[in-house]
Amino acid sequence: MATIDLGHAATHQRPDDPSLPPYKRYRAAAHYRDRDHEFDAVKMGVWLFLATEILLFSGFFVGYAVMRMLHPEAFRAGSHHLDWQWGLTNTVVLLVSSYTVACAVRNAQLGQQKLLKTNILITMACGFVFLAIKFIFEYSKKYREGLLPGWFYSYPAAGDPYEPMWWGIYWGATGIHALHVTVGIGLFMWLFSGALRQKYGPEHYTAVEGVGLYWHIVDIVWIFLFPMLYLIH
Amino acid sequence: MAHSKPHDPNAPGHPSVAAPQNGTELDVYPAGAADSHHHHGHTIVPPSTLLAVLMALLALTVLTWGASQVETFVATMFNVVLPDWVNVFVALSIAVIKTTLVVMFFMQLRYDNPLNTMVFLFTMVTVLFFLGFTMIDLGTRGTVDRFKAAYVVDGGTGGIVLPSGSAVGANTPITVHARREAENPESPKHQYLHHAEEHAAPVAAVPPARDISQGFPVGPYAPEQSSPQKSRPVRGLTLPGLAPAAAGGDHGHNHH
Amino acid sequence: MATITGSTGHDLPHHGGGGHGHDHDVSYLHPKGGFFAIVWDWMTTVDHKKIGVMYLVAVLFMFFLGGVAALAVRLELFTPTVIDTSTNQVISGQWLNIGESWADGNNTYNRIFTLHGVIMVFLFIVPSIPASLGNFLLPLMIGAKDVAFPRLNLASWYVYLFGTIFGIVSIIQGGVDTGWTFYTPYSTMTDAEHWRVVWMITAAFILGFSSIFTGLNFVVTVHKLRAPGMGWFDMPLFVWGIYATAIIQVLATPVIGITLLLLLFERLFHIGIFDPRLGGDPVLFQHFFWFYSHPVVYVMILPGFAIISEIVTTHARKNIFGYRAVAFSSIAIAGIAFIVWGHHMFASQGEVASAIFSALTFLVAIPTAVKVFNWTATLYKGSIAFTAPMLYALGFLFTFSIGGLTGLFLGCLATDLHLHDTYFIVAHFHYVMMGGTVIAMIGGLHHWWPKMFGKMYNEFWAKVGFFLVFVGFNLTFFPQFILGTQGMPRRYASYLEQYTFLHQLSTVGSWVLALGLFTHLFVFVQSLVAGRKAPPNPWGSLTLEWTHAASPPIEHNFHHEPIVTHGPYPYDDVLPAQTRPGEFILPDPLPAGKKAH
Repeated sequence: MATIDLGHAATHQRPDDPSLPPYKRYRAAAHYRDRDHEFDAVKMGVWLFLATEILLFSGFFVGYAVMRMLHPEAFRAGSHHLDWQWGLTNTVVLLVSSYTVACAVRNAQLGQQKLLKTNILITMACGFVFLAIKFIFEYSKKYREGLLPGWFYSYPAAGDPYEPMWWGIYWGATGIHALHVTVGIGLFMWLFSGALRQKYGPEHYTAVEGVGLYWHIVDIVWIFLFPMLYLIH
Repeated sequence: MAHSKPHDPNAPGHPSVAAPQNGTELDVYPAGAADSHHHHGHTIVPPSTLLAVLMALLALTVLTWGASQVETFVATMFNVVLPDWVNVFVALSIAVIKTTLVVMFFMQLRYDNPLNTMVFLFTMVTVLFFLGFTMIDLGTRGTVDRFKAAYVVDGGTGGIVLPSGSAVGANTPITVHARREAENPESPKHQYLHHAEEHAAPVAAVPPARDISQGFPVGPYAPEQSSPQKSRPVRGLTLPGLAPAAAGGDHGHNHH
Repeated sequence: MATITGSTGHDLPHHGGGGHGHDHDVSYLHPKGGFFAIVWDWMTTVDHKKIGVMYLVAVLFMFFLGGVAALAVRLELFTPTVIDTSTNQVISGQWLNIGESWADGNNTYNRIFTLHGVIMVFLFIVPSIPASLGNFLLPLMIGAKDVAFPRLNLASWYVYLFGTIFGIVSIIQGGVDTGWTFYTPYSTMTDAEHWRVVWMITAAFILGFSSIFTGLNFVVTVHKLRAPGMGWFDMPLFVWGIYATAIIQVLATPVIGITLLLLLFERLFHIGIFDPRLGGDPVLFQHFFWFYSHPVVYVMILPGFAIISEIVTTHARKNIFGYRAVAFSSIAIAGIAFIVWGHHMFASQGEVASAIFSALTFLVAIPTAVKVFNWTATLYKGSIAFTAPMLYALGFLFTFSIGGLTGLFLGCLATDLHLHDTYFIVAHFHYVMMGGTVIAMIGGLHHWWPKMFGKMYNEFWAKVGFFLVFVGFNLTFFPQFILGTQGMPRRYASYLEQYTFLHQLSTVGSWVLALGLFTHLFVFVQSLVAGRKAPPNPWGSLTLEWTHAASPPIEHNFHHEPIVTHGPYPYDDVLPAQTRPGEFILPDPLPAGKKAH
């Protein structure tokens, strides 16, 4: 399998030549030995950050598990209001965006500037589609019907007295997830502006890799949320 | 790589540095500092692999939906009621497989420094501790002393003033309150629903309010009774004047 | 390891060196221009040393505020409150009454002890050692120029300030009386018409990010930035302790984030997950809360252990006994931290879980005892110098052992149900937190003070301070063990008359303790103003920050990247070539006129 090494690239290029694209001129921070060293450290940092993200969402998963154990009927009743078609569509949207962002990393590694920009744009678009589906076809409908958390619940035909709590978990978990999608879109905008200025290439693609990893975790959270929330019978 | 940081091992400042053996700079990075030198470059994942993973993920997504339909299917066709955990087990197993695929290939842990895999696995172990021990407690309440599985009145002890300003009476679940509000012609909720019907707004399809005085409708399964294993009863109403949960509702068709 | 030949001060600035007079040659404390330039330089610095000093100032200020609250609490408890039962009016003994009635006074008391808890836990003790001494020393000890992510490090400090602002807003609005644990339904029901509980929860939520940033930075730094030749088992034990701490910070803190977020949802939207009226479970909140807050107890104490390992070896001139055992015990404690949280909930959770958690809790005693035994064995036949840091280390061994052993009583189900929520608990965790962490931190501050600020402190007054702190601490908290066993409940504004004597002993002790702490403040200020210039290695220590860096260190820490050829504590090999600490003063390496500042 093909590999590249950032460290050697640093020694072969003349980093100060202004005719080179920015990614070739990139220099690691002074406390690192070389670009490879910095890349490794940043990647480990990103992974630790992802660990914190996983543990953040684990709160919802534990809350879900406990409350489902105590009130299975409420979860069943609440889940019936969710449209599995939209959940499935959103899953596909996120999976495709995960694929394109993995491609974007590859493009950056190979210096394919045009494809890199295209893949970043597709990923960003997928993020927007996800949010659009979420807000237009799901949140607003639930809001109008009064399927709201806890004390805000006003739907007249509940299937179980504990349904309002289910909606608390639904809105909480998907809301925090949607917030992460929004942050991800912002990060892709930032990446895109960098890609326009040719900041990412074989010698330096740390940012593409880091944002990509973040986006995959957002995807993974949804991989769990989809069956947990939409597919209970 | 250490070339970029010239240092003079013979400078008087250095405590008898052992001369690098074989003259390679790696010799001064033994053990731990070599962490960052174990990798063999960064892998460029081939497009065929990425595409194959995407296809597998999409197939598994369809599978997880299909599996959730199987339960309904066998219940209606063969009158076989699968226990709850089958659905959960299948769905979570598929989710774990999908996650593994994403983590190994899209996130490149398969090709990466094993340290990052360690970070990921330790995180997962931590999550399992969190989930496991909390479930142990919540699942075993009252095993020794039954009073620990306290029976809490369904829908609460009341006395809530909702954000809308309306007060929920004592021992009234919010769900019941919501139904009464919808039926009360003077309540804003009723007027809103009525208005929505007239103008064929998207809420036109609100299901008719169900009579839940005989208990909430339940699914096609035998109702679980309140269990001392759990800190709350599974279902059932204790409204004054109302019967406790009826055994086995009739699939939600008991409205007038 | 035997190749070492007296290695102190070698890598210090050389006379007439090429870089002489350039920026990277001067001390990190060297002022850069006028007043505003200096302020701007500090506010925007990414230098781990400056951030460490900024954190030190911040946490010591918070320690002062929390201490004032503690003194107020002890003052209220100096005498029992006597009320006239017919009119409900206070006759005597209520010292904190900001209001009119008896109840007002009790409310004030509740708010002040909550203030004490919140400040001491979230604003002082969690960031205390890692963010101040850890930030300053970690890169120096492993021979790095900085931490892995310097800007994230600065962000951590600003996030800390930002969180503090929310806490201050809450206090200005009247403060909270939920206790620092924010137990539901208390935190979701009380003060419903005010926002102050919301602000305080938000403050704790934000402070969590500051802690995560620090921990994440340290883990990556230890893994990726060790100097050439420094293997895992060549790291000083301080680094091992901080590393274990950082792992907990990364893995546990996100859970308090989601817990407090759910608590905010619960309070603002009543989503029901912690509310039995909606089918939730308030005890679930306790699980969520302690899943973070028990590991965080080790975030508080592990850095204390880390400091003691350094002080004991250096000031006893002896290699640590069982290096690997001490190092691995830190990691073991970090691991066990995640599976014992339920011992805070013996009175509220089910018995099955209690039994499991109780059994697991006793596991903690093993690695902890390994440490204490190894420190003691290190002292054995060492040439102990009774410097102020060493006195603190010895004091730590005494007070922490009491704190740790009483923890075993509380891990035992039957005893715990008797002692739960009594002063026994209060005494136990103060013996661990104050008698462990704070005493270790003061000892560490004295130990590294010459390195951090380039000035020696007054040894005599530091020792006076130690004796006041040690006596005052034990006088304050030992009576509380007895009070607890006699049934005095915690968090009460008054008490039965039979407890008066012990409470008064405790209050007098708090005054002695405060006097001791102010003595140290005096020692530090005196040192900064008029202290003797510190040599690079006043203690004859053999770790990198002493042997290869100036006092105070230059901006980039080292002139050359150090190359490590030996473990951290080869005192047995170099001892003959050197003298005892205190006498071990190297000549001033900086030529006249080039003094930093």
